[in-house]
Amino acid sequence: MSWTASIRHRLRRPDAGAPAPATIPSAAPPDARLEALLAARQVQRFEIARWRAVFERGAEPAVLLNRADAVLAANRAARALGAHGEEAPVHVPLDEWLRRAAVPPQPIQRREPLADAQGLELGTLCVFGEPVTEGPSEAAIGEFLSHISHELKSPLNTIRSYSEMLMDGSIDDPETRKEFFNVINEESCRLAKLIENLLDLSKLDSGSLALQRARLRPDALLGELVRAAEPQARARDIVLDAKLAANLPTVFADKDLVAVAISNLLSNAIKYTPAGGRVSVRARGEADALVIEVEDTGIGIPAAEQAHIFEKFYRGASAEVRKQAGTGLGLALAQQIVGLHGGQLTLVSQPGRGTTFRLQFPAGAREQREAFGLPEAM
Amino acid sequence: MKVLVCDDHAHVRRVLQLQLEQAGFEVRIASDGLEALRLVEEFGPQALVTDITMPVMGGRELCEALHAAGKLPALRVLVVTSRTERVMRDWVEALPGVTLLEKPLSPRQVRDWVASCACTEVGE
Repeated sequence: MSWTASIRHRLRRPDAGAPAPATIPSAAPPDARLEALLAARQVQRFEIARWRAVFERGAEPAVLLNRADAVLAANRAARALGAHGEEAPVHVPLDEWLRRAAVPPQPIQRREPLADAQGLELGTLCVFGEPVTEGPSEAAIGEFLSHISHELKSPLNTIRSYSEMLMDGSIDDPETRKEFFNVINEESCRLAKLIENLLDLSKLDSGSLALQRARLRPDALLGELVRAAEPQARARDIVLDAKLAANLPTVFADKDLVAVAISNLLSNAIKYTPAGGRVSVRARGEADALVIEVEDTGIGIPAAEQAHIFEKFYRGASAEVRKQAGTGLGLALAQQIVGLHGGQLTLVSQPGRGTTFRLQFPAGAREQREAFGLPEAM
Repeated sequence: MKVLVCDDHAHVRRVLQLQLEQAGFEVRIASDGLEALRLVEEFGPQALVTDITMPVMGGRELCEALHAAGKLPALRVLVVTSRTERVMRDWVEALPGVTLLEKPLSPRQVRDWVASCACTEVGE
């Protein structure tokens, strides 16, 4: 039986499908009669709650109409059509209710007359077709999978070909052998990083990665991240410095994710800056915001590429970019993370001169904590 | 025998150049299709090993340009591709003298393919 049919059925026969209300023997003592009445009332309430839940949670938008075809109630799916938000008005004629809908509903699928146990007509249950949800198309999914497999195969390709040559004993020179082992090692790390980024992104996309917000002291985190990036900078002969203003505002953020965003920016800055260059991290408080800047004296990003730089798998076309190992996911991930915190990630860049990425997080920990009703931590 | 290797990944160029030179071939490298087209004229290779996805000019455009210039099938081409790129296969099969090799890349297979080209050349 469909849920609409069961509501109709239930209204006609109040006892059907439910525990029968206790019959109250008239000869019973007053206390017992009162108890039985209360029990019957309880059963009735339970029944109302149950059928309300069935109505409310139906996948199809549904409204209850009175005998004059005015809307008495709308379920969640119907309210989601945007006609009136959560405060759906009552006694609005159905025609007008439909005109006000932001999303036009599918055609009416069923109209079920509703009557009470005595057969008296109460109104109509009106059910619309289930809304068409617009997920990504098959073609888009196919393209994405093909892209991912291509990206995964690239480091795998290198690992296989380099190891094959080592296994075949084709490399006699010890220096070349060392170089080959190094490449295999680096490419394995890249593959691991790629998979990690991909998983983080997919969790962020599907909304299944809940932010673990806590009070975050930016100076401590930035110090940690700069220290972690120092070996990479030293190896590439790049000066890495941090200029943090005193009394930086505290933010209420997910430390692990913010660390991913900032370390991706730092690692990019170091990677795309020629030897002898400089990467600076600056942080300061601005009106109700924490501003972090990662500035480099690197190769810069051409204006035409800046519009695409945050797209998944996008990588610059120049040879300088291509010779560096990269996943094309770091900036996409950083932008999603900053966005989830209600912040902004922007850039200013001049090819040949350098790039500055600017992260802006809403600050004022107390306000944020209160807004989110969350406990103090860290 | 002269072989041209075209790939935008430095690691791939490095490993293929080493493998093919060890096998006694003369190797030149290009990092995109446009550079490869220029080297086909300058260097005059008998075999070309190319990737598909590259900046500036990809492997498909490269092969089609070579075909239009009447270089195929005298110049033998090995296109290295991922198995998932089924759409890519159709155009490869439509061109004369072009062969597909699936990734992940095996330098040994590339060397054997180039060696087989050398044999056919001698036979002709």
